[in-house]
Amino acid sequence: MNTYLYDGSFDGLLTAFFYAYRDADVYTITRWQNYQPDLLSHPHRISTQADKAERLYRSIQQKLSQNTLHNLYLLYLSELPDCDWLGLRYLRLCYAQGAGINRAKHHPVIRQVEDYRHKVTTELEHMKGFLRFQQVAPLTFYACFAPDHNQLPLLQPHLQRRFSDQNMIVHDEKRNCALVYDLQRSVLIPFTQADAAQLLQHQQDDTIDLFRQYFQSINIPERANPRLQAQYMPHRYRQYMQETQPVQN
Amino acid sequence: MNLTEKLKILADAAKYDVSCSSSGSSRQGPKGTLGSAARAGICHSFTADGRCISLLKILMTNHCIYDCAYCLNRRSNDRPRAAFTVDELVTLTMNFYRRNYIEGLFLSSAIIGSADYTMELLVKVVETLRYQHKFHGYIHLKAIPGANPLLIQRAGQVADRLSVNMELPSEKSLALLAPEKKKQAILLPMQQIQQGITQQKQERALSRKTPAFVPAGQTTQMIVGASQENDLQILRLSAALYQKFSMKRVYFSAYVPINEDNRLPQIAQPPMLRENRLYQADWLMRFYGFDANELLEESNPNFDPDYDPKIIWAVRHPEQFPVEINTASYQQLIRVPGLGIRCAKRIVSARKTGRLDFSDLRRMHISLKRAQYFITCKGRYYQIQDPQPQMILRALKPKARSPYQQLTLFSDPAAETHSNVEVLEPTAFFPAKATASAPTDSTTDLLPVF
Repeated sequence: MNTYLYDGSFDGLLTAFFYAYRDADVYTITRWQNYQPDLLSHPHRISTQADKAERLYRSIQQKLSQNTLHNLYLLYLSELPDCDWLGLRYLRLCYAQGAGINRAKHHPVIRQVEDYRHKVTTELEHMKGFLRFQQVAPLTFYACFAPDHNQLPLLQPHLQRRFSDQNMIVHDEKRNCALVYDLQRSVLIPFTQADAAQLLQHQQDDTIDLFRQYFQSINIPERANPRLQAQYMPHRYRQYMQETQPVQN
Repeated sequence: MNLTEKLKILADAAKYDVSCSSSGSSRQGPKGTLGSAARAGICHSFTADGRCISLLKILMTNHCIYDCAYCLNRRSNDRPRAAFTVDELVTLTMNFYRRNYIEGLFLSSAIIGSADYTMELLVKVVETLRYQHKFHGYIHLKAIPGANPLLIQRAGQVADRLSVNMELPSEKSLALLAPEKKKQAILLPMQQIQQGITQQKQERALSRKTPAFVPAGQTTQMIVGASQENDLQILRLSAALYQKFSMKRVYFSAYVPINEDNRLPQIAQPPMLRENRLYQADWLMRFYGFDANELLEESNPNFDPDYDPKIIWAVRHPEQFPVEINTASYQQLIRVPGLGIRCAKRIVSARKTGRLDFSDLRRMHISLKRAQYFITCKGRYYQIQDPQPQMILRALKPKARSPYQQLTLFSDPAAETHSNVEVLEPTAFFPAKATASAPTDSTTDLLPVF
């Protein structure tokens, strides 16, 4: 039995798919950072090969569909424990049956792909709303968050379209990376808590106090429904949303 | 008065405005300008009452010349009054937007001076945002009844959505509770906005450079529970509004008793369940192809607190059921209680690859709790063959809340027993006996059809 290990990039994953596809004896595919040796399987470390990844990428676009490719990308970004292995099973199923198999919502593999896709896209919609910027320099804004799935690549087009006239640093605390936009282009860079602390040490943005006041005033106490609130805005996101803390007088 | 105090007063005064949606527009500026609108809308936060904060919902001022019985800002109420200047509001919106707190601005106002003066102030704020600051976020503006049509035209050119408040569901209630507001004055701007939208669409077919006019359409809202109308009247009115004025939404707001007034009903809690039922029916009309007269009848003009409108419709129409999952049309599927738009689409998609049975439905995350009584798969029911309406209603009746409660280790059981827990008669411990006849009675009461 073989375990395929790749470097954590999407190209790396496609390369791993390329080699594992015809292997009847695959045990699993995973990122080498997450690999835990076991007694049964034999690990293969796959180095990323741009030509192999490109070949598979084009093949999925042409022989399957753009939608299938997007599903695989979302699976990759979901970073759930078995997402890469599910990706391989999904890819095999699609090549065997044609992209039309995506219609079979009751198929176990398709259903699981849909579930994972749903998790990622729902969180993306949440993050578009729940991200909170604070000003660290004139027209320069910093936001931090810790999403369950890797959202920065998906958020980038939205943020750049919306805030195209302000400099931005969006910091993913869980993955220690940040999306940086400088009015020209966006890049993903490694970024740690220490970098963030350095950035924040001089600046205090008071606009949050106004928003906190607004958040409190707009509530109708007669209609209190904290359960509904928690359903729409889960508690785990709230530590990054300062308006939920009470107003200090 | 500083900005925080103004914000406190004017946000508090705006909280009873229902709409906060930011959907329907996909406005987008050139690179280097601020803002964009998302087609589906984005919620930025949720307050403790479970409502979303999407737009900065605020009043320009709460100084009002009117004296409507139900309103917090009526002139006879002794309340702190405040007014924003145009610049304050513009800066506040820009600052909030840049920090991703909001999706845009929802600007409304009490009537200060005259309708024209108020409308002009509102338009000035939005024009400053759009023209001076090149702001492309979502803007929802209230059109003030009685304002000059030219002002409404200007508002339509800069706002994404306009709304005129219907206030109350009938002319009679309006005369009783808001005597200074006239039905005709409310309908006139609605008509103007609709004509503007239609005209823009026609012109756009000729030239794609035609400037936008209220791209996200118009909405309205009315208070439910402050006057005597029944649900059927309200539903018929909203159906007419959708038809005549091509409204995007009609919002209902459960009446919250805030003023002491003998013209108003005395209630302890806002009728939130009623509001919920009306919204369910509203959805059925907008997305599921139902008609107002299908959902309610003259003989039974109010919704049932225990069952949603779709179930009631379904048990009244046994001739339409069961629906065979593998062959029914999409239109038939969305009429099944327990199946929504998404589930129906999933079924239509999946059955192209093979015939479905109940385990397949389960796998597609389709809940069978309600649907099981109305559907067959490959000609078979889920569990019970040919269920009868009364039986279905009994099975779907919401469970009463348990009279028992968990005591904590350190609470004083004696005190709690006396204050909170009612002491039960011994018969209450044998619920089988007590409930044997009760549900049949209550269901026959509710539905005289059977």
